[in-house]
Order: sequence, then structure tokens, then C-alpha cells
Amino acid sequence: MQNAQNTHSVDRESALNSNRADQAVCETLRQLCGVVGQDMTPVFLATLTSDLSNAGRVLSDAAGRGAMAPLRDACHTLAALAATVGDAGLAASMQALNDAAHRGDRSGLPHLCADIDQRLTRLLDLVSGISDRAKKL
Amino acid sequence: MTAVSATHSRTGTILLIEDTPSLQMVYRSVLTNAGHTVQVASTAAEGLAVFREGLARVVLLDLVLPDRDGLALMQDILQLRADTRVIVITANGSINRAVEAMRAGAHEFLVKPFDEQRFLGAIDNALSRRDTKPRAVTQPAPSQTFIGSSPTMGRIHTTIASVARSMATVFITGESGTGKELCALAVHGNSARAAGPFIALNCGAIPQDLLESEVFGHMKGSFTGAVSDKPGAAAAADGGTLFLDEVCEMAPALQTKLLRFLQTSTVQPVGATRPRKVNVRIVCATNRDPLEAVRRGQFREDLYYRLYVVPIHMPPLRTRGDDVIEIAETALARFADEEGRQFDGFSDEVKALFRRLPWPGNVRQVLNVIRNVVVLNDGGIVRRDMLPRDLVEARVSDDLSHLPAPETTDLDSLIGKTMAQIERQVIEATLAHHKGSVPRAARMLDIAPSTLYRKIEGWKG
Repeated sequence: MQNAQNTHSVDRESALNSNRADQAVCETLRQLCGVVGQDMTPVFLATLTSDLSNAGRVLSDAAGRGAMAPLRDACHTLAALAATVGDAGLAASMQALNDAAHRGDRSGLPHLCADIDQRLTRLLDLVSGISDRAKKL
Repeated sequence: MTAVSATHSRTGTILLIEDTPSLQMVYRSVLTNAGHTVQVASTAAEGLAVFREGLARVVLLDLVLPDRDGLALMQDILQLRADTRVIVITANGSINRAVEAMRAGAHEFLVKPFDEQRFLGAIDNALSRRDTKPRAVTQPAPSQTFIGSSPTMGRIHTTIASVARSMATVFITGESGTGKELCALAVHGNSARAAGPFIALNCGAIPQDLLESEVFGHMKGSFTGAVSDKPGAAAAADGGTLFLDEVCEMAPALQTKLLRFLQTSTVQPVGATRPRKVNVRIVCATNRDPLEAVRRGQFREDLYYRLYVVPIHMPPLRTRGDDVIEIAETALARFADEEGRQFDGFSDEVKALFRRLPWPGNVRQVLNVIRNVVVLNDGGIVRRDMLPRDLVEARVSDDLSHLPAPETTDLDSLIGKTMAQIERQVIEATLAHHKGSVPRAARMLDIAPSTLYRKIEGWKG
């Protein structure tokens, strides 16, 4: 019973943290849209989506082949994008992957890549949500 | 990038070399919103072609580009026009590369993500230096503060001339009395901010509980004794250079605040509600081995990497050949003038002695010796008998052979001895291990050679 309560509490905490992190990303995205201006916002969000998707594909492909040089390049791009849009979780995962790539540690790559894939999908959903709202305005 | 309203007066043409289109859009928007003209390139080849058009004097450069290494591109850019200000932008994972870039001549580096204020502040700062005629990197700094024409000091002059033109943080190491503060002054004096203030703060001489207030200032009433607002050294150095001497003595809590200051370029005095932006170049110094302080957990590693961008090691006087004679002659002329005496230089015997002495107190010790000679003698050629007695007798390195043979010890044999006796025993054993080499023994014992010389001197008394 106690264990079940603990698990429930941890899940709730995790959901709350995730929600807070999402809010931070949305807030940063809104600020960036303000910086590029209303006219350019749809173009910016589409470009951002394309950059994230492309880098994600390169990363996934490089990890699958164990090719460290393109992996590090994709890491650099995704780390910069994640940090710019305020996605601290994805930025931290990219840092971990980058460190692993520099160490030549291939064993940890599948686990890290799975985590990154999940976080990247979530980020793309958020960008898509902001994009939909911007189109309606 | 987070949007922060900021006022920036200077505008100019900026070349942005960034291969990620969405980031390119954000940076370009921020720059154009601030009134700058922006040229954009997505590859190194394109960037170099645009740069050759000759419009941009400030370049924002991403270190990771698809066709070429950003650092190599920067070197080409600086070779084409040495007065170009290159601001390197990088993701968190490549801080070491950014440090490399600073050493290679980058004006500043920004770690992604950076807020709008910091971004525009860096551009503003780079543009403000555009009117300053740059000194060629290879030309030694015409410093009046250093005396000595040894090759070692020649290299120091060249390093100072190279580093002075950038905003890079300088980390000066060296024994006590080797001229670390003079080196800091030379960096400041040869930089574009020479007209600004040079504020020196000895972190080891100020009580730790007052240090935060000394560095960052305080507001009236923020603590007992704060009877008025005090700006603090960081704010006082705005537009100039802040020299933090004995930086490894800084308390851990303050190290965290210094790191924050370096990351944000803002200061928040004790009791203040809002931070204030300042434009300060940091030069710091220590007579300890900073990396060893990191290993021992006494100095934050992240702060070390932030500060240890361009290291300058001030060599001990005993390794500088005839510099000691040049320093002594200059000091003799100056002190004789001040004291109204007439001296005619040094005898050959004194010069030979000066070359042999270990000078544990380095240049400071030479100056004290010469002052002593000038004050206590009427003039003429300085002979051996005019020198302070303890100096002539301080042929420490020659005397090391007279040290008692080290005892082999186990812990039991130490019981019953005083700490001073144990210390002496350990020092003597270490010296014997290194065949009398004080510098090597000092390194092993993790103390300054000057401290070791003083201890050995003390045992003679």
C-alpha cells in the first residue's frame, strides 16, 4: 500500500515537472516568436520544426551506424536548438550523448538515443501546438 | 534566447555565420531589431566570401559548420583583417573549443543559449573597439613596467601584446614578488580599455565575510555597518579591468557568485533588488598551482575553466639570467635619485653574487636590497660589504650540503617530537630526495619555494 502511494506520488511529481518544463518551453517559444515578429512567426516555427526533425534523423542514423563524427555534429545542433527554446531536459540529454560520443562509448548510445527521441517528439508536439495557435491568430 | 529590453547605442554591419536556419533567423532578428545591418552565411566558404566584401568588422561565428572547422575559418578571417572582432558562439558541449578560440584571437565567446542583453552587449562591446588602432599581435608590448630583456620576459611581452586586444580573461601565475600585478597592469595598459579604471583586489587579504561586499558592493542598511551604499570593485571597474589577486583564496560561496558574474556580466550588490550590467575585463592571479587547487576541491572547476583562458606564468627571477642586474641597476638609479645620493653601479663581485643568489622573494627582494644599500651608504660603486649581511650569507643552495642526513622514519619515531621538528624532518628528507633542489622539493610539498627558503633560513638562526 505504502509502495503504491509512493509510486503514485512520484508519477504525479514527474507529471507536474513535465508540465512545468513544457510551460517553460512554450513561454520561450512565444518570446522567440516575438523576436522574429508576427509576420515571420509561421516561417520561423516551420524552420524550427524542420531543423529539429533533420537533426533528429541525422542523429538516429549516425547512432545506428555508430558513426561518431555526424553524431557529434547532430548533437551540437540539437543541443543549441534545445537550449535556445528552453528545453533543459533535451539539452541535458544532448550533453550526455555528446560526452558519450567524445568518450567513444557506444554501449550507452541506444538508451540515450531512446530518451532523446522521446524528448524530441514531445518538443516537436509543443512547437506544432504553438504553430497551430499562431495560424489561428 | 530570452528577450530583455536593452539600450545599445552603436550600430554596424555584422556578419553572422551560422548553419542552423532557425537559429540564424533568431540572431538576425535580434540584430536587425537593434539597428544593425546583418550579412548572413550558412557555411564557412560562404562566410569567407562575404567577409572578403569588406563590410563587416564584427563576425558572429558558430564553431561547428558543415564544410569546415569554425576555428580555422576564424584564423583566415583574422589573417585577412587583424582588427576584426570575432565573437564565437557555441553550444554547451564545446566550451573547451571556445577557450581555444579565445587563445587564437577571438574577441569573446557566447555559450548558447544567451539572453538578448548579453548578445547585444557583446556586439556593442566589439563595435566600441572598432575605432581603436590595433597593435600587431607579434609586436611586443612597449611596457614601461617590466625590466628585463631575457628571452623569457620577451615571450611574456609578446603574450601581453597578443592578449591585450581581446576581452579574454587572463590568469597570471607565479611566485610572490615576480610581478603578477605589474603584468595585470600591462595587460590593462595595452588594451583598448586603458583609459578605464584598473581595480585591484587581493582576495587573500580581505576577511571572507567582507569579500562579497568588496567585490559586488552593498546597499545602505543591508547589514550591520553598511552605513551607506558602496559600489564594490566589480562596478568600480566598469569599462576597465578588475584584477583579482590570490583568487584561489576565495571562499566557495563567493566563487559561485563570481562564476555567475562572469556568465551574466551583471552585479547585484548585497541588499539590492536588481542586478546591474557592467562591462569588465577580468584578470586574476595566484601564487598557487590553480589546477592543484581544483584537484583538492578548494577551487571550483567550472570557475577555473572560465578564468583560465589565457595563462601567463611569471618566471622566478633566478631563471631570468641577467635580468637581475638590469633590475638592480634601474632600481639603484631610481632610489639614488629619490634619496639624493650618487651611485656608480655595482662591482663585478656583486654582479656575480646577484647572478648566483636564489632570490626567494624575487624582484620584490631585489628592490628591498637596493633600497637598503642606498639608504645606508653614501654612494660610489656598490661593493659586497655594502650589501645587507643576511643576503651575503643567504647562499642557501650552497649550504644545502650541510643539512643533516635525513633519517629514515616510521610513524612511531615521530611520536614525542614537536610539529616544528616533524616539519623540518620532512622538509630535509624531501630536499635530500631531490638532491637539494628547493624548487622541486617545494613542488612536492605543495608550498612556494620562497616559503621553503625562509624556513631553511630560520633554522640557521
